[in-house]
Amino acid sequence: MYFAGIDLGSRKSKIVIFEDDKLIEEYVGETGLGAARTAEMIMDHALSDTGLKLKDFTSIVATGYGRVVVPFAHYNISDILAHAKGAHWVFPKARTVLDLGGQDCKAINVDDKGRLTGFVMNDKCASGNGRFLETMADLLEIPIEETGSLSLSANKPITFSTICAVFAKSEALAMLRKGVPKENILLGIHQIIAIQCEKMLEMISLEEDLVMSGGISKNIGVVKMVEKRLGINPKIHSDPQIIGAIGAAVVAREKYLRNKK
Amino acid sequence: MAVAGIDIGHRSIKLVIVENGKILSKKVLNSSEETNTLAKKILDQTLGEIGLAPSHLEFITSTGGMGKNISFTNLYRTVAYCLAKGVHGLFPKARTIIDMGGETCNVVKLNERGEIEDTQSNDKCAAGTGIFFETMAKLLGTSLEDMGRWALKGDVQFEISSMCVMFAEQEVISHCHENPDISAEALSAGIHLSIAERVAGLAKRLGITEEVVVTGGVAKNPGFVKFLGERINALPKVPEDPQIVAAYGAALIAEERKKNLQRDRKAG
Repeated sequence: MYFAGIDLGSRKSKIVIFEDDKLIEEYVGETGLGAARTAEMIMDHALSDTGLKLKDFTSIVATGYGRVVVPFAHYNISDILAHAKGAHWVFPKARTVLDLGGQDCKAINVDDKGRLTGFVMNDKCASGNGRFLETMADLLEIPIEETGSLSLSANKPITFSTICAVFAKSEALAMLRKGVPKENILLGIHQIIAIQCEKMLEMISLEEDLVMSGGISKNIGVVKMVEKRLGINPKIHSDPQIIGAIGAAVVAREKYLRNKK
Repeated sequence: MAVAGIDIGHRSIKLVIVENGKILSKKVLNSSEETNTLAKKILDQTLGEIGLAPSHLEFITSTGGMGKNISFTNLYRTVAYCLAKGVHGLFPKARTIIDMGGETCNVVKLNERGEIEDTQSNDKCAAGTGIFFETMAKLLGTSLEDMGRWALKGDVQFEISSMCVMFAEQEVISHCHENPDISAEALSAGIHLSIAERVAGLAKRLGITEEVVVTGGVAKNPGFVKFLGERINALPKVPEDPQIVAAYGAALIAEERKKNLQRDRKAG
């Protein structure tokens, strides 16, 4: 039996397919103009990868910003629930989830059954999320994929006087003009992201295992910084961007099993 | 003997030289780097222009976000304090000051004697500061002046729901994609309304009492002043040169100090 989870984020859209309780397909694509079209595009991609047809799915669950417009979804669930479920499926010992997405970040507590027990979210302020990192990478003219490893070679950390993404941008520009090495500036940027994570974690309860998800979790510089500041070794899936989609697929299967009883 | 007030902001340096209550010279210079040396250079240059010997300058007060730790000044006072002095000097009936600079926004409430009753300020977040306008003007590919003029002519057809400037930028872009026919006037009006809303929110925390005086570089934008006035139900007054009000206040403080010193000297 096949189940799909689809997570339409602000920057990336992700899909996973489960055959019973086994993950058989994952795909991450760009979120284009129009969430419904994006959903169809990534679904087509997953279908051609697996040779499945839309009618083969027992249940499809959508999550993310665009979740309400996915034409073929049977249900939709909040991003928070999706990340709680997804993190628990990947790391059953997960108690705290830090999801750093393109335009929002959240910190979530889950219990030993993967049930949501608390969360906070920042979607008001760009500081600390993917859009912020992207802007900074653009400014420094470094591909976003390389920002993490490059920051590890920094010799002198820069501390920004602000956490505001917009102010940090002008501060970084002034530093560049003064000849501060890019890797040192990046380290300062990663510090801002880590500070924003800490602020959220202070509002919930930080318990191990800590799972990091979302695109920023692919940045080794941020991960190391969080690790150093919290003194906790975070668990990260091989593709941290698909945790939400996994959660959606897990819920799709759970709903089917519950209805069957 | 003359005195000077110098306001060193994040985006510009403002200088006012005063002698016996009269402004001898005023200057605004955009800058963001090396404030100490630049401030000294502007001071020396201005003194040269008006033919005043540096020794003739008896007292210098500095203020502004970057105005602390300036080597050649005699005193530092907060922006709120200097604004209160400056605005009270220009508008004795003023009770609320809304000051919008490049990277800060200050609201100061005064009593009838021009003393500070309460203040609110934002220097942590770019929303509701001058940089919001700069970002938007850049996005529209126009100048701050034009965007302000357009806003006065436009109808508000949309509102920016994002708080953060970075998200607001995205929101305006998406809005333009979805409504390719929207006029630059309507876009500017929507942008101005959003910023006015943020600033009004900060001001309302203190409560609005008339007269309201708007100062800072953004006060030069009549579009902003109009939208702000509508949001706070008041008719704000704008000084002739809104950007130098804090520097002027700093100079007035310097004059007071100078008089006190003279009095002490006589008494001593």
